[in-house]
Amino acid sequence: MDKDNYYLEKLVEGDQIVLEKIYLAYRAEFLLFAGKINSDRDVVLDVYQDSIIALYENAQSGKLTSLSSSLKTYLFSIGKFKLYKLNKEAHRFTNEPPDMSYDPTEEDNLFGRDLNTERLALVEEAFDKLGKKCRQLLRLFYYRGFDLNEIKNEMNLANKNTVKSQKSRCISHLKKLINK
Amino acid sequence: MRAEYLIEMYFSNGLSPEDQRELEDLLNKDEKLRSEFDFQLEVRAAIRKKEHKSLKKRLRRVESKASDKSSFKWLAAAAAIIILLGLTWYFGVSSKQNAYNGLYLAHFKTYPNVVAPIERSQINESPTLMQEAFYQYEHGEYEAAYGSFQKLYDREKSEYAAFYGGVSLMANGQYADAIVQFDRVQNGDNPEFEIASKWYLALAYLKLGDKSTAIPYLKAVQNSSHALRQEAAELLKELNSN
Repeated sequence: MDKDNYYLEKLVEGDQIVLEKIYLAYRAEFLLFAGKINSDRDVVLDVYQDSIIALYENAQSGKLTSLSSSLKTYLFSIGKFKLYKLNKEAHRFTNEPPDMSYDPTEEDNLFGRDLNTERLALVEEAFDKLGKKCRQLLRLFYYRGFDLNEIKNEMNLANKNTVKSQKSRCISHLKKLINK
Repeated sequence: MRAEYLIEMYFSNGLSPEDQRELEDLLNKDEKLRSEFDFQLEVRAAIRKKEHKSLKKRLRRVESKASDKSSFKWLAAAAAIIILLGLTWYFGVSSKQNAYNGLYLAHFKTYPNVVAPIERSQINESPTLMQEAFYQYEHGEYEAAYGSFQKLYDREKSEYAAFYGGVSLMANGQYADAIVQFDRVQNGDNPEFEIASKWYLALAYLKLGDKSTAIPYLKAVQNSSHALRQEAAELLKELNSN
């Protein structure tokens, strides 16, 4: 378990080499395990990659701060959920394990908002046009889930209000870029 | 502003369930707030999508390296190397034997049936053991033929039975056992089979890698009047150049 927590720490820090290590470490086992749920190897690999990314994302966003079970269990439960979800969508009737009510891949659609793909592409494009500082700030806030204090420290800004005002400026600039 | 604070808390994972309900309430009441919040959700989703894309690209690269390792191509290459090594070892270890193996294969032929040429009509009636033996011999059933010749030899002690039994054994790859049979034909009454046996003895010893024992036999065949003398001379020449 110690190694798992060490890896988690590294993932929080953004260590993508460690992520690759984790990918390779559990790949074979996942293929074996997932093969029973879905026989399409390409699909399984795709799900595996998405699960690894979800693991990374959860670590980065602060959603996953410590492991109650093992890293493998966490990773595999994400993968398992994704696979059963796919089966359901494809109307494939498989025996779903009972604990499928909790969605570990929860995309935070808390307020029932489904996000439009085209709209997202637009936002992404506009985001890329932002200045480096804006991108960093927004990334820390929205992707890393840093609070105002943490951002202040990370970016060496004067105080929380400075952060607030800079954030607000970046958001309005982004809006302008989208509406162009 | 309370709403602003709650939204900030939401994005930094700091909302308690009660706070969440409060935020929902506020959002339901305020259109402007709702669209502002929605926009921030979009920003977050777009950044996540961006990260996801670049990570996916990276993992796909890792995957292709990993699957190359376990791909059929690699297995085929590894298998080819193993086979190559195996063949090298095989040919390397028995190099002495192998040099003669080629000669053996070039010169070994089963001796023609000069004793009892089989006619089809004879077989259908109750065949004698001899006919059966030669039938089997001529049809490549060497193991069975040897069995029959062995029975015949036990009964008659005849040279031809030992001789053809020996040739059957040779054809079946049992060289040492064949030598035993051919030895029975030496100093006997049948010069044809005696010389022919010397020929086969030479071949058997060669196959077993014993050139020095084979050569005197070949010389004896060469110096005889047997039809095989020419071939014996050839083989001797081939051996001397080894």
